[in-house]
Amino acid sequence: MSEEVKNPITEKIESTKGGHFYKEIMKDFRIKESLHGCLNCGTCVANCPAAAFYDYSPREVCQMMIEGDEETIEEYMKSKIWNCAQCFSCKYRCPKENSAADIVMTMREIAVREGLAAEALAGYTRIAKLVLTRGNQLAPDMLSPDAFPDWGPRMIELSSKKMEMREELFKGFPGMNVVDRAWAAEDFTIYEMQRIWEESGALEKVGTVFPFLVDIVQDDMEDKKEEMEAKIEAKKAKLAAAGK
Amino acid sequence: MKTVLVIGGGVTGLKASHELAEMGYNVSLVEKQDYLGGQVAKHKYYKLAPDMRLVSEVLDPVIKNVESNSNIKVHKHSTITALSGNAPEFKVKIKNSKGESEETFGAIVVATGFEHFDPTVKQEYGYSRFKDVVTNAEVEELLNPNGPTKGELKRPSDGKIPKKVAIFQCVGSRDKQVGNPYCCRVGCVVSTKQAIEIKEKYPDTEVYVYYMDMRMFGRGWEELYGKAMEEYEVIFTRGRGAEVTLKNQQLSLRAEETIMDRPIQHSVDMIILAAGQAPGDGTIEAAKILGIKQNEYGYLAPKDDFLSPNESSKAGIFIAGADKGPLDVENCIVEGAAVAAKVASSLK
Amino acid sequence: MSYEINDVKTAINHGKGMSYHVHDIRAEMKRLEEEGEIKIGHIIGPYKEEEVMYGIKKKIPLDMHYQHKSCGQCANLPGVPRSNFFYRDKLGIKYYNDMQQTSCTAWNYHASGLGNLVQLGAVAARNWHRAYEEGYNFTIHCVTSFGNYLEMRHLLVGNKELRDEVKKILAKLGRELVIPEEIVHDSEIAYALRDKILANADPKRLEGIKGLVGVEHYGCHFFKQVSDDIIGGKRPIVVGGLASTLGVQMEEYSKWFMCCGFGFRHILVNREFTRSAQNIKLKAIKEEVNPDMILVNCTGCGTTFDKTQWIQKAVGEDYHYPVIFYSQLAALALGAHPFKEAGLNFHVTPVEPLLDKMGISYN
Repeated sequence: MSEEVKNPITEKIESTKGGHFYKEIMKDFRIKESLHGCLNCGTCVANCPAAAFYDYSPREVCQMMIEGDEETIEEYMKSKIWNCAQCFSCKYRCPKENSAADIVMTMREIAVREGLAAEALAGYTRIAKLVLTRGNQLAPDMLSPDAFPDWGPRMIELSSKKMEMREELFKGFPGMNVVDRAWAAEDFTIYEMQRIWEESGALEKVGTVFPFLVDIVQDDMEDKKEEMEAKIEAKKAKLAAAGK
Repeated sequence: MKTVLVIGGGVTGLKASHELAEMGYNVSLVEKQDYLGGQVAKHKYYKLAPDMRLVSEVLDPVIKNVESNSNIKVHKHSTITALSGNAPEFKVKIKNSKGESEETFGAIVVATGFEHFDPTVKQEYGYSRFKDVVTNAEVEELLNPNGPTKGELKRPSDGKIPKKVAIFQCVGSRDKQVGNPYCCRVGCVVSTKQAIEIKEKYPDTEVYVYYMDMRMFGRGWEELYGKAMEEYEVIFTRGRGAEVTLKNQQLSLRAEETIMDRPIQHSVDMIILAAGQAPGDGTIEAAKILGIKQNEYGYLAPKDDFLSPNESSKAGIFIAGADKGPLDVENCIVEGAAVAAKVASSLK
Repeated sequence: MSYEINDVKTAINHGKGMSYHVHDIRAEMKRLEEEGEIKIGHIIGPYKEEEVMYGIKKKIPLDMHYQHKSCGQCANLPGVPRSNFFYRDKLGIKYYNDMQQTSCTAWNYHASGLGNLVQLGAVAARNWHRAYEEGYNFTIHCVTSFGNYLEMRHLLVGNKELRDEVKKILAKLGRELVIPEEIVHDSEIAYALRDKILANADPKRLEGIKGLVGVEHYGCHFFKQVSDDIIGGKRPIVVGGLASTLGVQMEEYSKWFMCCGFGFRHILVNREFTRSAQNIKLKAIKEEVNPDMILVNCTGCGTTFDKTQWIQKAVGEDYHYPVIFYSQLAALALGAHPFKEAGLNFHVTPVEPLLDKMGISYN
């Protein structure tokens, strides 16, 4: 049930409790571990790197989830949650063992699902694609100097020599000398990863932000499906035999 | 049987022993240290809130009443090691440096008290690493004219009088991280008292108290709090001390000014940690030997908090004072008297 | 200020009457194993016990290491996995570099909110199962993977609902839920092996390391995300402990606790945050210590410290603190070639002056 709180004199609505976002967040099972009331002591804010630079407060995150004011929650869902650096300093030192960082994580998940994250995830296409098609999150190739101007001129120099440098470093370590991904995860492994994303509903969620990525992944899976499923069946049989 | 064993020679045990002796019981008082007065004597507490009365005015008569009473036998430097038998015939082994002896008692009073919380585990405060981070108990000693600095608040690192002092409330209390979610019940008034003492002695020193709530529920406590703000200009900031760092020999603290919604950093010369109370080793040891129930924090659990507050889970064994939970000196004395009455009625 | 490892190792023993709080997940795992709810991947071969929070003993496996690699290390700082392999080769420790390992995907998750807990849990359990089916102990290179796997273990042990969902997916892959007996970060292993590393070290190299001044920075996901299961209690000691054993003079600076500014997403899309946080950290390091190197154990922090010192020129600062991983230091001590075997040439902040000071040739 939604609940309105009015200013007793002007009778203007001051806050609305129990709106849509509030309910969605409270449904997540992590909330009961992340929020146990709040002493308003400020230990979290004192240690928070995001609070030092942004209009963001882990204490406010806890308080707003206790008060449930939809307007404040919406403001966070739309932008402020992306300020958190996920360093968990708030969780580490909270005397009530709350975790604003975990609440923020829950909210980020819901923001993606609810289609509020397009702007925040604008720079994420390549990483999401890499995870879903290569099985790991980073590749030496991604570190093009124009994408990382902060990293200075030496980075440009290293970037141009990376192939021979890696070859020298990883002599005798098959699978490590690659530049289009972090290491050469096998096709079967990538397929298993894709299955997990599909089965867990995570792939569908990716579709809310990067619809084309879902097509790429599904095509990729389809191409190798027969061979891979046969491998999985063999694994299942082996597991069943071991169980007996 | 008109013999009673009292374990613990702090204010509670002293008061209980005296009252029982006055009623004609033979009391054996066992104290593990070689002095009486418990934590009050150990840390040379100087003044008592809210009246700023000298501790000696209270403690000296309480000790004298025990030492001058012929019905009380004081065993200093002694501990109990074993219990057998049941009420009203307990056989207890008492050990001292000379050896062990067994005595029989009609009832036992456990008044083993508390120990100050050791803030070393709150690593972020730097206690025991940064010399000028001290506990409230250590400040009592510093402020006492009979203490190591003859009453001067000389900071440990260089012996200088600090110009800026910060006091952190709730150290080891109201803190699930260290397993103590309870309130220490004395930190607020003790810090307020110490802030006033510091301001009285050194009017130029600034004193800041970092707190969550000032819990001034005792007799005259709220008035003392008002006095600290109005007459002594102690600055109370609503935000819990979060971190202490040492940079180029300068202490610096971090907190949130929660009323203003902003994180703050503050350089100070000395930090006093209002360390709360924890059940002492003596309390835990006594519970084990006597086989009486403890609560989830290790304090002794009364048979019924409302109806039998001074009875332990075992018939004939009574409990009183700060071994049941955090308590101030004034109420420890009340507890000592209360348990004496209960023992007397049970041995009648 | 300089410090001894035993001085900071403070928060372990919880002291008096605090049974209320002590919670050892191992007991709960054992119960679930007995009920047939989960399997436990028990430690294989020798192990060393090290104290974590509340004095609980954590078993650190000393052999048969499944190497759960780090995406960020393999891509940005490949000298780190190479050094991890190197010190094992030198000490005769058997390890398994698996090409069937996937990323834990936690960096992506924390940065973007893509993915969900079932997906993270299933990915974790699939990698755990890889170590189990190959007969190795699960060990982790990356701090974010480490924090994530500690968290996943906590959630999977504590929530039947999540466990059932994950088990359902694992069954479809022909796998089962096998939770490792211990979730161990590679820096904890290097710490547990510190005396062995010292004993096998090249005396000439030790001569070069001796007296170097170091500061340490730990990844937040190493000790803040799940803080009761790392060696040393709440204050991490493994990197400083290893380094001081090898002769480095460790110094503490006031901002040691603060986040490096990586922020998972900030280093990519909110760089002004990364720059500002780095500025605060580096300024404190310079003013208070001015060390020979910054020692790290975390992929993200190592990347941030190494790559973004250069941009501090924008605020008129010129920092040149080499960023060295614990395992690179161990590899150097054990005689590794600084470039060909410790991969220090991949670092953006120049390491050459440090190598010169240590008397190690690199050409």
